[in-house]
Amino acid sequence: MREITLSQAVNEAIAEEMRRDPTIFLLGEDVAEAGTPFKILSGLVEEFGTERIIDTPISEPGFTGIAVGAAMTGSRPIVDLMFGDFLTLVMDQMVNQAAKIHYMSGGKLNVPMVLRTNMGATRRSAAQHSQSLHAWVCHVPGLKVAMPSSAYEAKGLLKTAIRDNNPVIIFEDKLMYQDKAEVPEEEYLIPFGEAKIHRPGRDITLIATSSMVQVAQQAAESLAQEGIEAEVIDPRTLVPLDEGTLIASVKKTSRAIVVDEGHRNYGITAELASRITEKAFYYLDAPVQRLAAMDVPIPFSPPLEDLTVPTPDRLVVAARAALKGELPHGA
Amino acid sequence: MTIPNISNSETYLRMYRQMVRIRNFEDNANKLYLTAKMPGLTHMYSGQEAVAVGLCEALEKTDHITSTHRGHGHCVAKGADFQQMFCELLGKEEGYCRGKGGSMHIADQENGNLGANAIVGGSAGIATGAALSAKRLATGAVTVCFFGDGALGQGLLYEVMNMAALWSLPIIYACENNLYGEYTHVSEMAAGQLKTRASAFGIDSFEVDGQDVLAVNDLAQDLVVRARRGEGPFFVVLNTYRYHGHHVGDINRAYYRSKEEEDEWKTNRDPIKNFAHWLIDKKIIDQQDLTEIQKDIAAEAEAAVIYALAARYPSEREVGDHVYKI
Amino acid sequence: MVHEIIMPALGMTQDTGVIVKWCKQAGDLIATSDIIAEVETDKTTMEIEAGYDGVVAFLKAEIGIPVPVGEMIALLATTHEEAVKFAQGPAPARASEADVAASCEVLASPRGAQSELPSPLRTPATGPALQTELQPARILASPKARRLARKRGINLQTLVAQGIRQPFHVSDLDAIPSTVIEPLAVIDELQMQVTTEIFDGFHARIITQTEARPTVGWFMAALVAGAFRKATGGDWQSKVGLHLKSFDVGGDDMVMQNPDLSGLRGIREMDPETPVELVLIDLSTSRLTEYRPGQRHAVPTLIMNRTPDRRFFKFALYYPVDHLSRVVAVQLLNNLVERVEDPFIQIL
Repeated sequence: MREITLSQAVNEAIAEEMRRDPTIFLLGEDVAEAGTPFKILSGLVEEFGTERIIDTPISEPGFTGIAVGAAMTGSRPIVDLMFGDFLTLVMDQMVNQAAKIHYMSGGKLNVPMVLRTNMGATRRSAAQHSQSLHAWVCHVPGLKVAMPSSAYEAKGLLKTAIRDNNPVIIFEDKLMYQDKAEVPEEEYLIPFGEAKIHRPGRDITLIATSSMVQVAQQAAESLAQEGIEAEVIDPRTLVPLDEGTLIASVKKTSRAIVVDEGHRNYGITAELASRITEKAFYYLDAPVQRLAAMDVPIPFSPPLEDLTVPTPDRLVVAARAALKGELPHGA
Repeated sequence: MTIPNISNSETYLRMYRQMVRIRNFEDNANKLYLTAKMPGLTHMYSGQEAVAVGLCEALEKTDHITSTHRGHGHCVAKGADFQQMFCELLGKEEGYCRGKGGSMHIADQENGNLGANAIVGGSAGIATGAALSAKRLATGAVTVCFFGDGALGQGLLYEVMNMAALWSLPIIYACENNLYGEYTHVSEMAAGQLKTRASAFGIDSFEVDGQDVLAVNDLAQDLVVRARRGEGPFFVVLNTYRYHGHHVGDINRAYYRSKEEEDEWKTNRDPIKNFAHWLIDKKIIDQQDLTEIQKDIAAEAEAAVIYALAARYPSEREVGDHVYKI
Repeated sequence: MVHEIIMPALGMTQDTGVIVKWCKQAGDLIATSDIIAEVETDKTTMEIEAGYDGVVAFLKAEIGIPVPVGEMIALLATTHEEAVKFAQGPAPARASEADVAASCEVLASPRGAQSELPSPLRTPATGPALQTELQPARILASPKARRLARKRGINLQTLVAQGIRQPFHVSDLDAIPSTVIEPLAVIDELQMQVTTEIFDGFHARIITQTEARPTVGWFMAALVAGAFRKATGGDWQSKVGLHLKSFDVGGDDMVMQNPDLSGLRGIREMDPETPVELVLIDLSTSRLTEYRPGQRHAVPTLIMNRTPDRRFFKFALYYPVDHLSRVVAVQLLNNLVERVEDPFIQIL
């Protein structure tokens, strides 16, 4: 099968969907001729014109709010939010407006929009361009949240997101834009709420999101050499969450580590660990461990920044400890 | 005042009726609230009727509005039904939003009301997006974005006005200057001229007496036609006054506005009273018929309140519905 | 002079603490207010101050491993020479134990916590001892290990006794040889006496009238099964498996299915597939006066004997309480008495 980059996969998904549905348009900063700083959208404006690939001023709340209104009135807008860190700027539009309109209107209005943005540290972009803030929006009922872990997932999830009748936020790890994966030529969609077992195993479950799936895969490789069989699961969408697959896996392996690049405090790892202890407690043979971004603003200095994110090595150490019963009990 | 056009009698009377309906609705809502029959927070539109009616009468059913926390007037003016509105205010199943929105979030999509918004200035993005949709999908719809003078403090408004101007969107930004943002006079919150805020973006801006329904409507008719032609956006400051406090229960207001000031507006600048005088003066209707209209509307409101009080609450099963659209 | 740093008692219910981080390494110079380690307890993470100026000689506790409150976790020396001397812990100093004893000062000073500790705990030397006395240490085991232990009838105390490191995991259970698997069942005991006269008369008549010539044991087994069926609310379709045993050589030893229903003719038919729900041990043909089943009896066991004057049957019912409720057990004996006093009940 052909291999394309995650960036190409996103571009293809948008182009295919825009060809299919004329109500779709895309707006954001430097999305047209510039094709975004990551060049993800290059070529789209040539095909669809500036009427549908709309360059906006640097006004994140403004154009996100416009997308909400457009979505309520027959359009299917895709918002390009250049950095996930700018989520802070659009929170009122996403949280107080987009997420609640369907509910507040008793089901009369709805907001079929997609907000594409990114996440991920170690690009030496410092504290305001390196955050992974997906937990913030996962907390809000009414929003859906997808976390592609490869080009394949990025395309299938984005196409599903565009067709969804609710506001969906997609976080792409900006370090993965040039990563290649097998992506079929034919059309496919990835349903929301279906986790993917990337690698089966019987000894420990590694639940990983986005680029952390790669981290988990690498850790699983190393562990396999020690005879430890790790199962790597990618929830793919955090809202809705395929709890069943996660719980079934943990019941099988009796051990779990949750890996996510958001901050550890009150984050995704906490939520998933909590669900495991709620639903698989009597199957656990070790405390559920969490690997997440360190609870510090992301530092600029490369050796410091590298300390803040989960790595395969750290995951291997954690998994080994769980297998050997070397974890401190409780907290 | 406008020279009456007798062929427009029906329109005049409909505007009168709509203003009286808003006043009646608010009087009843106020009473419901004060007698503890209505939960939550509510903000009265009384005094500002000419703004909502003057603008909405210039719109088609398919045109859109976005509304504010002080939104009952907009909702009525855009064609909403009393019964469903009172049901919504009381959190009942038959309310416009099945009781899930309440006073501050009434939406009536069928009549083009995209919803009241409890975030000051929060609907500016939605309104502008509706206008972008209309332009892109060539529906011909115009959007009126209602907001108060308080929203002039919100950055979002300026961001979207900028884009609306860049993209020539069919939208009218209707700034209802009722002089107070919550408990503070507009002069303490907005520097410079209100109107020139939009002029800075090259938006055609106007200022109109928001107590004069004909003046508002004349301007609105003109702007709606121009907006449909692609000459938007527009910005209008409508000078008006709210008779009640910021919310029901804001009773001791002397620290921010005087009794004399309130009396002056209520006595000499009441949009309904003045329009009634005009209608009689121009012999479009006589006092007796006006009184009939008032009575009919009072009865309609009363019946709707009785209906809503007796109506059912939504089933508890509904609490989890409508979080996501299937 | 060396100073011991001990695992402090930071909370009323804390029995262990875990070093999450050593802030100093052996050989490091350390000042009184320096943090030597971070300790995690059931409540919180605390920093432990050195309390003395000196050199870190020995870090004893391992990161991540629970250390009982009061145990030494590290040694501080005054000089580098002394640090080297104690680099392997207090052991080399055993030769000069007096030296250590004399010079050792027990110390625990979680930063800022001391003033909040209740007075008995404030004296570190007595604190831990008091803790142990008041609160027997809770056994630490993973939820799965705990669940499986319960299922397999393994008492976790057995693992404690074997010195297996806590928390216990499933692998620790798997390593336990089957001999340590003990039932946790609590055995209750009920006794009863009933006259033999009617029963014996009836039995004598049956012997003369049938070819089966049932023993007293078989005949009693029929009555016991009937009483059991009634007490447990079973209908005629439910199967009652009964194991009749006498301790005589060549005496009864058979598993019977529904001896109460099968008639005395078919009573000898054995069905090894029938689960045994009740054991009836007949001591009446022997000289034995008493027998108690061992603790591991998982099935209700009824011991039957005669008084020395042979005028009464003595019954003792031993049953695990999680197998049979006391109400049912009493019911069983009551039903049996009725039947022994009037065997016609059984026939009817």
